[in-house]
Amino acid sequence: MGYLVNRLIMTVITLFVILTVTFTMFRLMPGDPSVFFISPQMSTETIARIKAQFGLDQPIHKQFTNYLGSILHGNFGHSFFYKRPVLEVIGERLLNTIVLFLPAAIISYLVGVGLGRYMAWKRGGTSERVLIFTGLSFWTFFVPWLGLLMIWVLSYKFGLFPVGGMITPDKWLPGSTLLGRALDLLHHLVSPLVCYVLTWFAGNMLIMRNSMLETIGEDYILTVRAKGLSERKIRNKHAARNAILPVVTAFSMSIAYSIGGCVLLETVFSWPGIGRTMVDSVLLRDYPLAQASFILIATVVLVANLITDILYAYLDPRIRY
Amino acid sequence: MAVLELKSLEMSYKTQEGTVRAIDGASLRVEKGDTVGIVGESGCGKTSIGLSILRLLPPNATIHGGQILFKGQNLLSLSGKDMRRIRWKNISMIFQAAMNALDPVYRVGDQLIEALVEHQNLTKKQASDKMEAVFQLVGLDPGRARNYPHEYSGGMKQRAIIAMSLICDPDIIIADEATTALDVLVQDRILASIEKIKAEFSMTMLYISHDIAVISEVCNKIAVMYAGNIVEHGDTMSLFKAPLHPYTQGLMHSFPKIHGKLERLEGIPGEPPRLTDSSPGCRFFPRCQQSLKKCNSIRPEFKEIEENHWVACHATRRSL
Repeated sequence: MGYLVNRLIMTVITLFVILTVTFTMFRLMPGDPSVFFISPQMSTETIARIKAQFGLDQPIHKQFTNYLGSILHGNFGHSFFYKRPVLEVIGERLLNTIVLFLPAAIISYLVGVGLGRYMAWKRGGTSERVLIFTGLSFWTFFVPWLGLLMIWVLSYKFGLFPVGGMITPDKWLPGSTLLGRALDLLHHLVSPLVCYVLTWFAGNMLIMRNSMLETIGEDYILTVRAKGLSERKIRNKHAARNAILPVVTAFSMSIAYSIGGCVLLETVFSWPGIGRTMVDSVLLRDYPLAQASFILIATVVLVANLITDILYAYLDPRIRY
Repeated sequence: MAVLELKSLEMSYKTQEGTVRAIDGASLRVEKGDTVGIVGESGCGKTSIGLSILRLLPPNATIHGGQILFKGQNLLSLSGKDMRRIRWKNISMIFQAAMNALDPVYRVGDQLIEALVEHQNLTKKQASDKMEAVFQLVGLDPGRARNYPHEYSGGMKQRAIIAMSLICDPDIIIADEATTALDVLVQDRILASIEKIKAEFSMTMLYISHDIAVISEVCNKIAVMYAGNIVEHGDTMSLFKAPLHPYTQGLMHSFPKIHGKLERLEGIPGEPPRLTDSSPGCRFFPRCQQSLKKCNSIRPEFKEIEENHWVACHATRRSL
């Protein structure tokens, strides 16, 4: 319990640091939001009024407290580009991203851990060499290249999957069934999901394999074997159970790294997710949206870390701070 | 019938430097109620014998000769599944590295129960009662069963391992350097517990150690091992009073006696042979001071020279 409180406090502090960094970063960028609305022909009074509207006439510490206050109230401002509250825009984009990345991350995790466990247990076989080669090959592929290749072969040549996007609007017209909509979404989901899994499973697989090989040599594995347990129980209940610990840590890191992949993947497959929104908002100089996206992504990584830590403490009784 | 009998067991490891003949003819008898000690230097194959009996050898090891008879049944001819049933239920083991012999992510009590339910059909209540009983037997507080291994001290872990080895009421327990990693005081207390349990249940044990003092305290019979061979096997008393094999004699002179005159320790000159070499003769020949001509070319047979006293030495037999 003390551990949990401790981790929560740490998370809040980190969040505060992130908010501060984001705030500073946006002030350091050349120009400010008002450039959108100010033209050289305007009078000084008009310029001052516009600046005042954004609160830019106030001293920096006042701006900071305003900023923190608004965020605590869940007010991220209005998107310049979409002319809608930022939270609304982000909310739907984030949901789209989650629909793609959560299943993708879970599948690549399960596939990686499963294969890694299998490889370590059957060490030195042909299957191990094939898996290492395949896994590492996909691992080193450049995501957009693999994505484009998949689109070209699967969508263009064979017409198996849509070229991109998340839905076919025709199938979401009023009167369409829920099942029809779900199938349409799934149809769009397959290519980007497979692309993600292919490029990411190898990491989990190799970590699991190495960790498993280390665990297999431990004395307690000899003990459980001497206890007369079946090979399956030794592998799953003891070896894999101990080997999974480093992989859990790697999972939270992979979430952080996969945000980069998220931008690439969403761009290649035209998936209307948060990664693309973030890049677009920077290019469009949509300050409120960019700022909120940064904060949001940082928060997601932070929460993933928190969950990993809690999970880790649950999985490994030795971890108690 | 002996509980456990080894008949000229031969086992080797394949390594990059060649085949290591780790056990090169080992014969041994353990009768019911006996505690037989295997004593020898590091690397002489003691641990390999223990692992061979339970067939827990690493993949690069092969047993290519001899028999391991458990109550008359050759364990080497059993299927993997049948062997699994014998492990722990009939033959349990106390491991050398007790510090890491418990799985760190499970509660100690649960690990004991795991062994029990694997081999016996018991309710949860019965299993945990049995677990608490063996905890008490080895002097552990049953209240600590819910703790994890890292919350135990070294001595407690060792006791927990001993408790685990007792939980299925096995016919024989193999203890491999059961107390070596502990400090002398804890070692003494644990040996006392082992003594008590042995007396109470007339336990049969195979006790493997390099420490001849511990062996002489715990065991009523001793097997002396040298470079993969068991060279002498007999009663503890007769082995100490009148060791027959030159190696055993050297060994007895290599440690100080508490009573009696203060003497300079003699030791045995030379070093044990590399186990990758395969000379046809006696393995102790290069270091032996009583060697005969044929010792270098003919391996001496392991023969019963007196009743219940076996020796593998050409020189001994001639002098008798």
